[in-house]
Amino acid sequence: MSAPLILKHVRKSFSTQDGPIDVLEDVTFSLEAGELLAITGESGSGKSTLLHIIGALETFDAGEIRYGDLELSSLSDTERAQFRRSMVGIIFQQYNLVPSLDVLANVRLHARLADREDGDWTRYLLDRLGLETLAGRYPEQLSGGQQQRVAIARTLAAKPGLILADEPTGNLDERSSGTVFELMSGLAEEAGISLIVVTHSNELAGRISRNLHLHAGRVA
Amino acid sequence: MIDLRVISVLLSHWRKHPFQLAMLLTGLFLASGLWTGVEAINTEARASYALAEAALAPPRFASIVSARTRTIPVETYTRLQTSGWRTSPIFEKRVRLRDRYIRVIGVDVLTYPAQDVFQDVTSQESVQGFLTRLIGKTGTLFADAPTAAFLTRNGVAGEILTSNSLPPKTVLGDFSALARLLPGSEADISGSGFSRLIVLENQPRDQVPLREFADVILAEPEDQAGTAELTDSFHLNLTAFGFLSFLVGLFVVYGIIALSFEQRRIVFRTLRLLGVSRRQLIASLSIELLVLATIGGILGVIGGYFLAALLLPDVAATLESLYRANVSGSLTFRWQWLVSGIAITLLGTALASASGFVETARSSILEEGGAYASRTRLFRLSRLQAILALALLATFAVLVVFGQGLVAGFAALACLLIGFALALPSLLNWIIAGVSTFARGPLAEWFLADARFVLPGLSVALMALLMAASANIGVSTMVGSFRTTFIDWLDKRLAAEVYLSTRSTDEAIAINEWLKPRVDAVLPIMNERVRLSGEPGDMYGVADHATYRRDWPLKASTEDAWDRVFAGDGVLINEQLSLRYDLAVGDTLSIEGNHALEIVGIYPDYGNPAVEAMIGIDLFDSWYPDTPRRRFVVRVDPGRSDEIIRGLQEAFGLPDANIANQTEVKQLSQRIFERTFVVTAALNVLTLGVAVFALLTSLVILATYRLPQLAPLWAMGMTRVQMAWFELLRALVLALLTGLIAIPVGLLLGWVLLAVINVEAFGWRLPFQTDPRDWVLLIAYSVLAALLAAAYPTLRLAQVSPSTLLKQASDAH
Ligand SMILES: Nc1ncnc2c1ncn2[C@@H]1O[C@H](COP(=O)(O)OP(=O)(O)O)[C@@H](O)[C@H]1O
Ligand SMILES: [Mg+2]
Repeated sequence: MSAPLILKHVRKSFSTQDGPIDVLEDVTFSLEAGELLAITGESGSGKSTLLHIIGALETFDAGEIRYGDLELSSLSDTERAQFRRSMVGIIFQQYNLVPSLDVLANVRLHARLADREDGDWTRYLLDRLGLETLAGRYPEQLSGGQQQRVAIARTLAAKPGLILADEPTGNLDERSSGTVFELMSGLAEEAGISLIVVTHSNELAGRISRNLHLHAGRVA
Repeated sequence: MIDLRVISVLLSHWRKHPFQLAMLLTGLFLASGLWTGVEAINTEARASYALAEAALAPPRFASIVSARTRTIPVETYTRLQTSGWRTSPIFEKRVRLRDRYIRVIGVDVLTYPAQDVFQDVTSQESVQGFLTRLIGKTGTLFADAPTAAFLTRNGVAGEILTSNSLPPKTVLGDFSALARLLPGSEADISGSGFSRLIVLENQPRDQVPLREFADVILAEPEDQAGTAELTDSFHLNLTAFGFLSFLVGLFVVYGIIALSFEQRRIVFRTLRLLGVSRRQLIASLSIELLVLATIGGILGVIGGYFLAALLLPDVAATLESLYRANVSGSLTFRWQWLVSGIAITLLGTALASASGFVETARSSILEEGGAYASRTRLFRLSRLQAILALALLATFAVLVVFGQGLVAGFAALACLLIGFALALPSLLNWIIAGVSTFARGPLAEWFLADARFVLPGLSVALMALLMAASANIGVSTMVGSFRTTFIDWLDKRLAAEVYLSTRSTDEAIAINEWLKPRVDAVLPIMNERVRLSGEPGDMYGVADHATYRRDWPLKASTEDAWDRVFAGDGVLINEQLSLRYDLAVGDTLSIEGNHALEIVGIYPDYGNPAVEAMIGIDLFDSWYPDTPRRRFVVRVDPGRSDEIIRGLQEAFGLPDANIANQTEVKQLSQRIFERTFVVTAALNVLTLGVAVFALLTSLVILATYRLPQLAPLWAMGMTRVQMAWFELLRALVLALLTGLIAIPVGLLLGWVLLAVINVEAFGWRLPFQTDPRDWVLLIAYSVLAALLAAAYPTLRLAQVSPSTLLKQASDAH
């Protein structure tokens, strides 16, 4: 399922009122299928932008990004949506749950959209993430940590090839942040899913074998 | 493209918020229901008029009637027949059956000129084929479905076929069939004779002239345009109301859709994050709204049908007695209502959701949807609204000054109403900001600042309230003006007690002789078809009497108008003529036959589509010496008018149609007017109801947002009851301000209805009359509406548990 990811000389700049700002100058790196990677860097160094680009949420100006056979810059709007639906899972600092669906429905949502529902796997995830007793609750009835675990379960349940997580534990306290981080990376590894996780915490990044530091728009 | 999984996620919002769903459906229901209800009343009534015209007494046919008695003997008919007159005999009678009057018409099946009536709805058989069969089978009756059912229920035996072309409460059949409805001797035509003979088309040239038959005369087809115009005005009244109610209902829909889009931004964002494309999202949302709008539309059509069925008997009674128009009191369901009701609901929903769709289509997945962003968006939206409001009000001004035609009038109405509705939030904002500069003390300051803060959330409901309230003032101004003017005018115009139309000059002379010693005055009315300003119209000649000098209403005149009219030195014209040819007092009217007279006065002539002028009788006689004196108004002590009428009928056999007892007509008209207003009042209440509902919706929704804002106040030591009072007070203040703004808007609306729409539709202008007591009442209603709507959320707030507040206050927001 998972496929290698290759970035070559990726550039991205934003035009603002004060003129263009170059966020990514020249980013090149690659990731093998099923590999885990943590990206660190100062605030404003372009970590989120990079993740958005890989997740086809944002376009880039120059360079090349390949995921398996796909070349991202050549995709149309609909193909980009299809790419997000079937190949990647994105986890943000905000949990992005559907407030009108209960926990179970939220967890199943991505898998159903991607036509990849696997009941056993979903039950296993609920169990591992400690959500089975919460299955009938609505997001507003959960704590922040619980909500983020639902978002993680939703992404994992869809069995994408690649998970992109942007400071997934940024809203959580230190202790639950460690647990959630461990669960996410552990389950991704177990399922053979590649993972790129952005964090400003060196401590968390240290729990993952491969690290990459972004500085001044380049991989340092 | 259509993905049921996506749609089910979208629909889960409504499952989680059933109250919102109920509000949305109710909004759709009200919009489509009020629209359909009014539409149904209008089409039903119009269909009845059309039927009456097409099937019975077709106006293009003249008829032969008896000169002295009520009926024409069969021998006379046969004599006419052999003298070359091709006619179709008719026998008409009103028969009382149980609590109802039924018009019974006996015809000669083979010659009756409106053959459509014989078409049976159930058989597809051609008229001719059916007739051939009918001849062998005498005694078949025809009636519309309800009348047929009524007759059968009340023991009328034998076959009654349902005809689609007969007006309500009418039964028609061959003479032989009358026996089934009339008691023995009355049904015998050879004894009683015919009511009239319809003169058919294509008469032979060599026929014996009618004046050689002493006992019959020719009656020209009656001009019924006047009634049509008046009923039109009644329907316009309703249509305007239906339109306004529809707009109000639509605002509720707009409010809920906007809210549901706002609350689902995160859902839209999440779905797109999970790979649902923008196009797919828009398509799914469209389907969702399409389904909801269709459901609401269908429910509305059904509701509208019942509303119409409820109001129709009143409407029918009104139209029947006031305008002598026959309208069925029961309603038949028409498929086109369903189609038009759903179509209009879909169109309305599309309009109401347009801005939500644009916003959703433009939004980016990565855009942060924080409170700040939503406030700047609201600010942008309100600025856009204000600009749109100005544009609409400018369009209104342009339409009023330069627009022509009824469509422009209604467009102006819509621009005015929507323009002010959209301007309302800005107006309220300014007013509160203005008051704030004088506010002293932290609580007052907080209260005013807070009122401005919640304004966006309440604005849609307040807009609906403004629309309902101003529609109310506008329509009641129109109706009120109509009522006072019309009744006043009827009073003066029908000042004479009895109105007579004789059948021949001989009879006129005889009746005159008979009346002279018995009454105060007999005044001839003469008229002649002539061209006035080049347009075919009527010239009237009237005699010098207080009936005119004192009572005849004039809109404008010279001081010596009547002196000059009776001296043959001036002419009075009706308002239609004055408006159509831009003629004023002092101008000269050119009259066919090379005459010209100075216009000395203009009189209102409501309900008359034609142009008219009036001169003194001496001048009239000199211009038209051949015009017979056949019609008269009789002045007599009103208490004696019945006696005089009975005397005339006994002595001269004058048919009912030739005598009008004006006192009765006047009383009836007044009673009927009151009834018309029952219908308008019912709709009035409904529109206000919609506004209350909108307000309730917004307040309940607002309450769910309010807790985080109120919790800090609670934490700072305000009690829950205090907070609840403030919430209530704020709703009342906003409603009061809205009610105040509604007054000028409503008056402007009334003015458009009277001075633009009425003039465009009917050619006459009603004087503007409004009653400030109505305004006070309306403001009271607005505040009451707010009180009703705020009661529930306020009570809930007063009882909210401290732990909930604590959670809100302690959570970082
Ligand atoms: N849509 C945008 N328009 C303009 N500037 C942007 C946009 N998104 C991000 N930036 C800018 O790009 C830089 C990198 O932002 P981001 O990728 O969010 O950094 P990080 O996630 O590392 O904190 C910042 O200076 C930010 O202001
Ligand atoms: Mg970031």
